[in-house]
Amino acid sequence: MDVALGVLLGVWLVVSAVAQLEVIKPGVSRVRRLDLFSLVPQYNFFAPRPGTKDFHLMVRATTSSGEFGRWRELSPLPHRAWWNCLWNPARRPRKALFDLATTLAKESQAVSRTAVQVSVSYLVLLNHVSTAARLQAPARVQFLLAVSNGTCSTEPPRALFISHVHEVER
Amino acid sequence: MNVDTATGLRFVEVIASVGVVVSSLELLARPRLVDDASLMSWPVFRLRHPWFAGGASGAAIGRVLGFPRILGIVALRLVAALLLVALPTGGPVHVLLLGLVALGTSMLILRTTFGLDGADQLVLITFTTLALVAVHPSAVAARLGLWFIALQACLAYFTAGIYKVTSRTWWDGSALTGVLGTLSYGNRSLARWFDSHRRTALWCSRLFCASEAAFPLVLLCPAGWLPYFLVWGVVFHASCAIIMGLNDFVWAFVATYPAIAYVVLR
Repeated sequence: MDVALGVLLGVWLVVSAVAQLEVIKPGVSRVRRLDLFSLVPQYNFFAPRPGTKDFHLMVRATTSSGEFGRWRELSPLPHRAWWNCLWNPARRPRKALFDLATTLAKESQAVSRTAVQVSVSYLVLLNHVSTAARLQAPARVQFLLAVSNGTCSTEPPRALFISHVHEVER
Repeated sequence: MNVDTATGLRFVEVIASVGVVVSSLELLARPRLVDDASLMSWPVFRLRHPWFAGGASGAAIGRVLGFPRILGIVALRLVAALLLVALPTGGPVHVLLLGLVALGTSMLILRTTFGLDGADQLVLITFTTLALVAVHPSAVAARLGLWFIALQACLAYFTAGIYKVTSRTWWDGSALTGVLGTLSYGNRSLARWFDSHRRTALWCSRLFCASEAAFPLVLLCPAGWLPYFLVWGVVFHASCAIIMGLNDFVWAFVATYPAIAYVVLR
């Protein structure tokens, strides 16, 4: 039993170490595709190219007249409070938006504009904005991912990705 | 001075459990973070894999991971972590509690990795290892478990550090200023200060990257150096929690330090 545990942990450690080369040699660890539980870790936190931008999710919907209203930001990123070093529930949606935005930006360059509509990241955002837009009647919605250069920059946010227009029923 | 295996494992377990309690409470305090319309929506994320999307497996997994049932799993994980802190170790109940925390964490990861981070991965590795050791609590298994946790922590520091050391933007300090400038992980005052003190930013960034990459040296240096490495680690993670809001990394990484101490002082 000790030997079995030793072999198991040894293999796990070696696979974990090899998987860290993924950043410089994509595909080196084919195991990751099967690793639904993320047992093979990815330890390159904030490296080699850290996120130095903030992402903003904007939505607009048609009004009763059929015209699109103004873009509005959903759940703007809150400034952190001092207690967030101990208690920080907002880090999860913030990280989720970051992950979704970076994934969608990559996917939109890799596949056609039509194909990207069935990607999971696109559908998650569409599902989220359709609910958050609080539509009273069937309407059309569109979302936009904008990117800003952080708090030191005076440049306005710029559009990173704009979705198709979708009919949403309520 | 040395650390015996039982003490080492117990400290790993207690510190990691406190982190699990905090992260579980954070999710339970804001249940909408995981509801069907959230950015972590199960009805959409289940589409990413044929096993989840449909059929018998999809229906079975959906019954467990759907909202609001996932909150039940988080609550179970919370109770298990609290009991791990409160109850003595050993016996089938202990194995069950460790297994529940490992399983609960893996369920969250299985649902979606979007919104999760490296601390969640390390928590899963730690509790899976502790559960395996608890199933077969021999002296050899305990030593193997502590070595494994210590080496995973060193691998994490080395990987994060070496990718930063070899990154042009981390080496010239612009990455540090850039990250600190974001609303997501930054601190406006500190970013502005670094922006106007570029040379300080450059050297702080180099020091930060090099010390992260050099952390595994703790296993090779004389045992007397151990406190310096561990104090550096605690200060490093506490700073990241205060400046970047990465509170979960403190518990996940500091929980591995008793294992590192065991390996160094054995």
